[in-house]
Amino acid sequence: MSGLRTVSASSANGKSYDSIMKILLIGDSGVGKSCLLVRFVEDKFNPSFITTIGIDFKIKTVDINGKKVKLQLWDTAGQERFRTITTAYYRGAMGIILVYDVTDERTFTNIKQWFKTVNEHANDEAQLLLVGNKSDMDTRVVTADQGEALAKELGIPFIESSAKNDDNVNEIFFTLAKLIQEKIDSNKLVGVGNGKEGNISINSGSGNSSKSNCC
Amino acid sequence: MTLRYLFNIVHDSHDKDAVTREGFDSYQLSPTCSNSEKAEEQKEKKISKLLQKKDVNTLRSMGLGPLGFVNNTLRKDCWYELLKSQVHIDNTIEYMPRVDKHKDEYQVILDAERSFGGIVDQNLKSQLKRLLVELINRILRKYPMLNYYQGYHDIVCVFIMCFSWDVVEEKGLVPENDLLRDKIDMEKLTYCVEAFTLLYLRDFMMNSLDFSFEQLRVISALIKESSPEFYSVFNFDENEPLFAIGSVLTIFAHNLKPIKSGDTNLHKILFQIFDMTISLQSMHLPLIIYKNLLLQNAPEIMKQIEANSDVFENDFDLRHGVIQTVLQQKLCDESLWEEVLQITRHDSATASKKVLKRVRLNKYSTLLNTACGKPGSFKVATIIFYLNEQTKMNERYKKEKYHGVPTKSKAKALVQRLGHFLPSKYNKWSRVSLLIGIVAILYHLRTTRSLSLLLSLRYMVSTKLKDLSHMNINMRLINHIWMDPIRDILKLGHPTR
Repeated sequence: MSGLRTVSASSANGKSYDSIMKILLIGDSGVGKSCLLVRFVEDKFNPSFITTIGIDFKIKTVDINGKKVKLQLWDTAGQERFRTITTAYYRGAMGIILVYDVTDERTFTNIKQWFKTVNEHANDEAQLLLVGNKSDMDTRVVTADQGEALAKELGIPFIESSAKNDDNVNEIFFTLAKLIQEKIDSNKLVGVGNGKEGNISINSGSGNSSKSNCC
Repeated sequence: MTLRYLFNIVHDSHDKDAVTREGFDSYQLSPTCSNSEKAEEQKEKKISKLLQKKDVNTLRSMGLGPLGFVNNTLRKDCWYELLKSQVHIDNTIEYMPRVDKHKDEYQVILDAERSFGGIVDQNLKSQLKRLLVELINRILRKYPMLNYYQGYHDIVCVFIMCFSWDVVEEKGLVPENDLLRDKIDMEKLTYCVEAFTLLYLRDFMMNSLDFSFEQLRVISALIKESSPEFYSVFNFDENEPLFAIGSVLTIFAHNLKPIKSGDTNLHKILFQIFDMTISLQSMHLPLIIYKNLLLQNAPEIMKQIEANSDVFENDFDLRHGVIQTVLQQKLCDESLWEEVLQITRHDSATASKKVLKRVRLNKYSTLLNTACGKPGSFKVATIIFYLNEQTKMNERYKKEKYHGVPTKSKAKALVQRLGHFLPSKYNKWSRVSLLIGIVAILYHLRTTRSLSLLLSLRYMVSTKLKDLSHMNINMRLINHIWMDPIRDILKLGHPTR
């Protein structure tokens, strides 16, 4: 259990939502995954935000095209050794946010590695999104054009953001949620809350589930 | 804002029935103490005396009782004396070849950068961070086979906070060019971090998380033992309690470290958990505490699981999501913690043999030797032997995993599995001998077609495996182990003739 004091909402009883989306944040250690999430969920920023150990879970309900969408947000540890754990949570993710730090070239280069991990462990239909964080910093080494080019190469949308200045943070999650909603509407994805029978199922990680055995 | 404010010490009323434990001298707060402040004062005096006498055994019982070692001035000396009694480190000896730079140092800096978030004084904060990096790098360079993990820094922070308490809390750094390290007992601090790492944290510092998972499985097995009902409803069999990893790897430091001024007295609980862990010399303790935390909240967890069963994509997510949400709120509840610690004090000090057998720990796990819950003194050389063996074993686990056990023949996998129970130098012998035994019996079986012999074969293999997996396997037994299958065959063959 990690990040224990940052819960935003307890799981609701009864249906106070129209659909649910499982979203994952991945990327190298220190790129600001947790900061983006805390900014989005609690509208706070703390540069000395605690390190994520293993996996953190948060929930936020948002309004997408008049529908109440419950976003299940899974924040992952960036250190390589936790990869075995974090990939277990890729299962059934409808959206995956790949984050790098625009002031750290290495984290940008590693995005391709993360992309590969996603392809190995996540559902093919999962909507991906590339995010270059810390756009407020003067020490930037990765340009927006470079980010754009990589996103194009990978065939996924791209956003630059700053959790510190609250630039484009909401856009990340709303853009992703809308893209997922479009996929759901065109029946490519089945929402978690909409139909248990139609759950997306992908090659499972370490934890076996009894529910997602439809395919 | 100082840490005194952040950590705001309030004297609570504590259970006056302090702990007594088998094997320790009993300690009782005097019933005549009408208030807890007096009790605290009395305990402080007693601990000071024990420190003077270096009475480690009685100190242990102090650490286990309510309030633990009471305050950080006493605490740092108590930790030092206890850890010194558990391992003797001679700083003039180089136990293994050092390295100038360890592969994980970059990650250490990333995590140190995000530490000490609650400290406002920028000078002090940056010195604390530097000290954190220095202490961790020192360990990594001195014992290069250890791997840094995110969370280790949280544990080292607990030691730093304990040792620099009076500077951080009261005196501060005045004038500006004051050095923090000049104001704290660096020698003792370094010793404590090194000893604690070697004795308690080896399992977590391998090249993969396999041995950390083993410890998580102990939590499942403990729950099965204490509450089969919760265990079965919760379906632990199918799910490793991965949600517990942050708490376990950091001995709750990740959950209880103060990060903002609203955090009340949680740090006191954290220090007490460390007091208890070090006093018992037990890494079982954090696992038992986690089990008790779950069981204390079992009704709420079950309720939430039912209520949210259709909210999550799969059962694995459901459990993690619900437990994190429930514990998130509860872990800030000081009274819950007091309750859990009190229950833990009366719980068994270690997981039962049955539990450990179920989990099948690596045989050099800290849970079986240096932090097994029995007070003992270890030589660094012995610990390094354990560390070497664990490292080799971990590499084998990794290889097995990457090359895929399921694709291998079952027999090969079985023999390889068997290898994990034995020190590596006997592996080939034991594998070969067991194979000889099996082949010989199969041959005999072919010629005699005896069913009883087939049953004997099954018996031989299973008892052999049981023997080997026994954690206290002694060297004499190992020496002759390659002979045993042959002996067994001779014995088994005889009556059928």
